[in-house]
Amino acid sequence: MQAESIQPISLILNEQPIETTSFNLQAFLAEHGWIEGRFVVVINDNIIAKSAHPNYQLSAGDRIDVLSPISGG
Amino acid sequence: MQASDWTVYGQTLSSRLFIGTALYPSPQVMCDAIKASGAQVITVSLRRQSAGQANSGQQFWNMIEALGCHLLPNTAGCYSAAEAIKTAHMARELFETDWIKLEVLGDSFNLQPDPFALLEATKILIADGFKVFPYCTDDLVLCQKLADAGCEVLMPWGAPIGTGQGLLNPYALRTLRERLPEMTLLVDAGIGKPSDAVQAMELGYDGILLNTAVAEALEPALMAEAFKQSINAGRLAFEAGIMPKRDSAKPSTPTLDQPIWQQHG
Repeated sequence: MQAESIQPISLILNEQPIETTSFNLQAFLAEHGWIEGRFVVVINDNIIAKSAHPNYQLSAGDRIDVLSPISGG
Repeated sequence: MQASDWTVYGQTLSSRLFIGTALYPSPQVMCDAIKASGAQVITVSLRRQSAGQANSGQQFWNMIEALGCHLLPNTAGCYSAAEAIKTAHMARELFETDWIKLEVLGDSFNLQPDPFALLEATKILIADGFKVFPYCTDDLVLCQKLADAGCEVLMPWGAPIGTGQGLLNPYALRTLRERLPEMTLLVDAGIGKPSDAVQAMELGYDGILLNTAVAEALEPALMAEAFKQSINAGRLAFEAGIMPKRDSAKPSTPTLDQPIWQQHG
């Protein structure tokens, strides 16, 4: 019996189209270098608290923004 | 001698200078300048970062965290109330503070605040529990309405951001101080040199927020020290009570008991 392959989903990450097979938010973020530290995640205009990352499941078409601190006046 | 302490949204501060973290030639120069300024509040912002740049935001965070200052995130670059409100919420989550320097711009040429959108966003953010520091024009009625909305602090511009033109409308700024005596007022934007800051402080302003004048000086740390001293001097002068201007001369040397031929008029 042949194992069923995981189909990637299409997302928008910081305004760039992207495909992933990491459906879990924390795993997805880690895949792109956001493991720990200061950043905030916004999905479809909703802020996702850090405590919710491990259990958050991504869906096709999600629009993900990851924001970090920068200098400002 | 140090001017008196003051309170901003319940936070007691000794420095009356808020300083920005942008435009410095290097991160080290920024840190040196902020330390030299003696500022206890620094402004910061937030942006999307592409995958692969995840560390640069963290590096900046580590630097500003080591400075031990209060953070005042801004909503720079927002042109609508909705955009500014969204950015403020993201900033609160990111920086873990309910302080927000609220910028809602109305014109891209001089980066002038949009007074209508600013007031709208202010009301919503205060209802959401934010402590709003609105970057506003020096319009008296706007400032009165921002105060009525619940702002404890107002930050009228001296001149457009980054111009270094100083206080373009001292009359308007003086009027604000006179008409809103209980309000904490900072001049934000347009300060180009320490004497501009002295002028604002002598008018009775509680503090100054600046960035470019220090960051673009040839020696930012030295300029930061100059602003630190000038802001303190201006505040001391205000607290000491500045003599009124007169139209006619008044001798400073006593004339009593002078020989009669030396007494005039």
